[in-house]
Amino acid sequence: MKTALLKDGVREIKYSYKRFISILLIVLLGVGFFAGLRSASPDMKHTLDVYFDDLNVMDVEVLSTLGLTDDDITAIQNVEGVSKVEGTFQTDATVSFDEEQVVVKLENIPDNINKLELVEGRMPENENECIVEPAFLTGTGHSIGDTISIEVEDIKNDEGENKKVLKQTKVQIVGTAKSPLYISNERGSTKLGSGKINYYMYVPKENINVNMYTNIYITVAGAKELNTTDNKYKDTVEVVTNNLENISEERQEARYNELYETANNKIKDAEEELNDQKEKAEKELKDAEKELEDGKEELEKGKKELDENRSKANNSFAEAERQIEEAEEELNNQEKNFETSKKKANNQIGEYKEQLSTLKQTQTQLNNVEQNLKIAQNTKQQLEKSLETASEEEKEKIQAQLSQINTQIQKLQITINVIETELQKQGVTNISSTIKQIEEGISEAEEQLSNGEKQINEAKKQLEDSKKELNNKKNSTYYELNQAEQKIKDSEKKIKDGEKELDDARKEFDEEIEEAENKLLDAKEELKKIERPEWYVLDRESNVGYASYVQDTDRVASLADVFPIVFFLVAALISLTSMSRMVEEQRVEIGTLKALGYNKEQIARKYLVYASVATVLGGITGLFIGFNFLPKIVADMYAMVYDVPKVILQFNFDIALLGMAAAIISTVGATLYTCIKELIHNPATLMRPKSPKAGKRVILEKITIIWKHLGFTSKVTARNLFRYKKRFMMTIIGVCGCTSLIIAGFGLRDAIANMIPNQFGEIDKYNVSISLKEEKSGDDLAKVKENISKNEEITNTIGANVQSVKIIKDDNNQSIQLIVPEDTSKLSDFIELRNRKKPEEKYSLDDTGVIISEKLSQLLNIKEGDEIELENSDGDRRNVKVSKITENYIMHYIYMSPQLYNTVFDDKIESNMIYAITTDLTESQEDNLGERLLQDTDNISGVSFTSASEDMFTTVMENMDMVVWILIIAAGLLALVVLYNLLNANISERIRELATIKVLGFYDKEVYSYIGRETIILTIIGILVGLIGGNVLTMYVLKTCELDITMFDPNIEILSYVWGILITVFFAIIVNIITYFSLKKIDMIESLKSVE
Amino acid sequence: MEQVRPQHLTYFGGMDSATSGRVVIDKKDISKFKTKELTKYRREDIGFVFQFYNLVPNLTALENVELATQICKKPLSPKTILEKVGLKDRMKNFPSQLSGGEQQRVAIARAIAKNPKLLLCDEPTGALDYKTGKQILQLLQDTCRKEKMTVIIITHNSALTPMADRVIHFKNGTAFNIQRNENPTPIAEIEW
Repeated sequence: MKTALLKDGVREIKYSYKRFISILLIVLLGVGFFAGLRSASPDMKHTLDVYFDDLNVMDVEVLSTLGLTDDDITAIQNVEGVSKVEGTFQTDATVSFDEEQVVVKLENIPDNINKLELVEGRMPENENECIVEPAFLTGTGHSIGDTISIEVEDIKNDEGENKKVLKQTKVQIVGTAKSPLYISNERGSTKLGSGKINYYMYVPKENINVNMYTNIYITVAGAKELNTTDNKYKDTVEVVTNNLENISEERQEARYNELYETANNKIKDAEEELNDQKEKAEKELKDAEKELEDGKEELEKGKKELDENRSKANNSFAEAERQIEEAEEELNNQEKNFETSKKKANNQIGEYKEQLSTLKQTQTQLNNVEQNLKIAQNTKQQLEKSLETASEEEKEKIQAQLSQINTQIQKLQITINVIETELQKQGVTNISSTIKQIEEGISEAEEQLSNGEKQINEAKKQLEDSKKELNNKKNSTYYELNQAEQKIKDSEKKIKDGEKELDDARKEFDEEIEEAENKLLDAKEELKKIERPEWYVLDRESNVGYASYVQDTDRVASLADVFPIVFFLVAALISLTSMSRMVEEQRVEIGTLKALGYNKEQIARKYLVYASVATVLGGITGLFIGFNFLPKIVADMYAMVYDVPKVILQFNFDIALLGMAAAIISTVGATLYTCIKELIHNPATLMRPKSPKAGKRVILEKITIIWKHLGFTSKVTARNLFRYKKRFMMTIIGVCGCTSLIIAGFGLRDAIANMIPNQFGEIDKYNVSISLKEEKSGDDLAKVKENISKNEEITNTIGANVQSVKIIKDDNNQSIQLIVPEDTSKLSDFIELRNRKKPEEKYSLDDTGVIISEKLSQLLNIKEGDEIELENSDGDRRNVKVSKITENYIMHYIYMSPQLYNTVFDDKIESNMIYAITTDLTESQEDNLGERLLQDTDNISGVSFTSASEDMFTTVMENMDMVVWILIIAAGLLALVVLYNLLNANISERIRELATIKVLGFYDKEVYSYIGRETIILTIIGILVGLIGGNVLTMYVLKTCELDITMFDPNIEILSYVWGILITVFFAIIVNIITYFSLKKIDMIESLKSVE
Repeated sequence: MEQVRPQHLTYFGGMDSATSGRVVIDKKDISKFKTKELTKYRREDIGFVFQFYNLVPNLTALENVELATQICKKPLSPKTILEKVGLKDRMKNFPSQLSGGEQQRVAIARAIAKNPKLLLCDEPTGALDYKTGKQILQLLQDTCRKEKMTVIIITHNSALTPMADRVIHFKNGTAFNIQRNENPTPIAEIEW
């Protein structure tokens, strides 16, 4: 370039520095944002790569469903491409303290691969020590030096025996360390505790008591040198992954055989034992049977004997009875005879006694008479004696008495004689001997009588005795017999019991045997089922932290594809307007140069260089700022979620090149276009001032009603707006871009913010999903539900069958959950099915078709009424109709009524999941409830709270605020640059006009509104377009950021639009304030200057 | 009609304040005026005619006149003025559709329409050809006479001096000679 021209160029820049700065600024913004956002992703990936390289993170990991052995390690070591191999043991454990319990992922400290990054303290040195992640200390309140006790469930070794996992369960924390395997805050899920792993911790290998590995870490030769997210890396690793998969078959088989052998041997042993026991038991049973038979036989014998004895006894008793009867009869006869003779004898005795009594009377009479005689004689003697002595008188009396007595004596003697005569008559000579004789006769007869009686009595007694004897005998005999009978009965009963017992025993035996056999069969079945161990060969992508980190950075990169486009477009328009203004302003100069003989290229060069210099300066500054700050901001944002070292900033040459190229194409391209357009004119035309752009009537004037009412400033504004189309476009695009970016920022935030309350509040109304150990229905399910509902936090429950299904459609590998509720009418209490666009339109399940979630319908292009081919978890494929499409934001779901499922899959469905609604709970209350629920280990296998997912998204939300800020700043800068450029163009182009109206006596305010109104109207139009543009941009950004399993809520809140407007207006106001003061500074002398 | 140097024009026109000395117009010292007062002064007391007409290209002839009249207190009817300057048929035309003389007429109309106390004209014929220039000068003189308006013409063309009632000569920013023409020459007789 000629020096004069160069000087001219430099002066030009000096002279029109505002224009220069405009171009420079917009390029700076575009390139800065492009490069910054773009490089965030590679920078973050690079940081991760360096971090992973430092800690020698595995490239591939092998897991097996049945554990891995040293043989596996050796085999893997020999695989081509494998650099290092290390086996490790991982398990979930609980650590309790202060009545609280946390679940940790416990792993042994690896030697070489996935090394730990020591944060504080030191690494454990013996089996009594452990190291935890830093969050463990802050989360549990422990500090280094504390001893914690770890509970690990015993594991079954190959032989099926329980084995302790750790040698020492009380270990001391000696430090904190980070593991590269957990860069996100996702620690995974577990069957323990509340179902969520809280922390990870490491113990030395020496503390592990198991000679098996759960994971084998592998590094791939040559992979470390590559960037972990590059395709080259992926290719390199994939080769090894494939190699590993190739040997996996063989290793799985080997492990299978090993396990099969062990199990099979065990079964064989069990079988043998069973047979032995069977034999033994059978023999025992047979013995018992025989014994029983013998007993029966004996019993029969006994019975017979008894019968015999009884009849014998009966006979003999009958005989005896007969004898007794006979004797009785005889006795009776004898008695009768005796009675007769007795009567006779008694009669005789009576006679005798009569005689005797007569005799005795006589005797007594006699005795009395004799007595009286004696007395009389005595008296006579006495009297006679007395007579001798007696006086005469008395003699007379005695004589009288004597005579009396003598008569008496005579009389008595006569009586005696009479009696004696009488006696003699009767043959009695001696009365006394006769009496004696009679008395003897009586006593003899009486004796005889009593003898007879005695005899009879004796006989009677004898008879009685023999009767008694017989009875006794009978009694005793029958007693004995009865006894014997009883005995027989007893033994009969015993035998019956024995038989029953035997039956029972046999039944029991049969049952036991069957059970044992079943067990054996089961074991055999199990044996068949010993899953062929399955190897999972996983690369880094399978690490949740790594994968989401990479995905998230990619998302930033895709944002970088959208936003800077606006900037570059505006850059092009700004260049176009400023350069064309510049070229137009310098027509005369151009004409002169042309007339002087400079050719087009040389003349154009000035402007191209001008634009290039602005672009390159702006671009380089932009690159500098972009590369240095944006990745840092983005990385800091992600640092809230990801635990990775500080981002390593790098100069990404390709991005720089691309950004610069885009900028240069926009600005220099626009300049070139302007130059070409102007330079085709001949020098003469160029040297004449370009006829000012003709004032034109605008469409608005045709609507006279409006036009009439417009002030002049408005008219000028209106005409100006239509006059400068480029400027119009530039401003509108710029402002629209500003508004759009802000709306997009807020919209993105809204989308994510709404997704959570929408999904977890309005759609999924349940708070807990409880997975059941076994499928249940009816009363069983009701019982489990009842048990769950006993926890007072739980207010409502519903059972459902949840299974992974597939929709058979080309290229579809979406994982879909089929939910079949036990009761369709109650589903809406737990899961709301509705139209997203019209939330009041609720759907309910019926038997005509299934309801699918919206994102699924979008991904697979399914409409209401379409038929889909569904494959259930059993692998059955059936066609079903899609009746409705329901609002859903996270994951894919298909809802189906149980009746429909039964008809379609011809299978009765049972629930394997219970959804429950709880009262409002804090996190610790949830943990507590989770623990309680999990105590029902018979029924419940897992508990997960929706709040966990909520938390995750809340963190994402916080990050979104940063994105919104970045976008606001970008948008603001864009608006500022564009509006400032518009202002600058307006002022410099219309300085004469402005000076004139000032001279005419316009107040500053009026001058401002003369110009400002244009800015305001353009801003308003820009904002209006921006509202639409914001919507479109938001949708695009949402689609870009959206994962396959998530759907953002595409409803942008009104408030976001309001923010978009307000923030844009804010920037517009700033520019307008600048405008006001710039206008104030305009010198009226300008109006006097000649037209160039 | 008087003739002055441009920098003094800025003082008379209230476009700038003199650093020293006094500018007394209509018994008011405008050199002491604040910006706002100056604006008011320009707005109400001054009509300005520029060498390059300085019409707003986006407004029609009539609108250009109206632009000025809308901001002052007792303006004359724009249409009447435009008729007076002989642009009855061109009122609806944009400046780009008018010749230089026509444009200057519009500019004069714009200045007059404000009904100012002082009409300042900066080289009103500078960009015009001889004939048109004469017409414009005639118009100015007519205005001065008929509307009883003080018209100051600033020009380098001393050939125009005979038409003025008073001529003030400036050299190096200083007025060195003030002369009165008792009998100003009619414009038609002036040649340059």
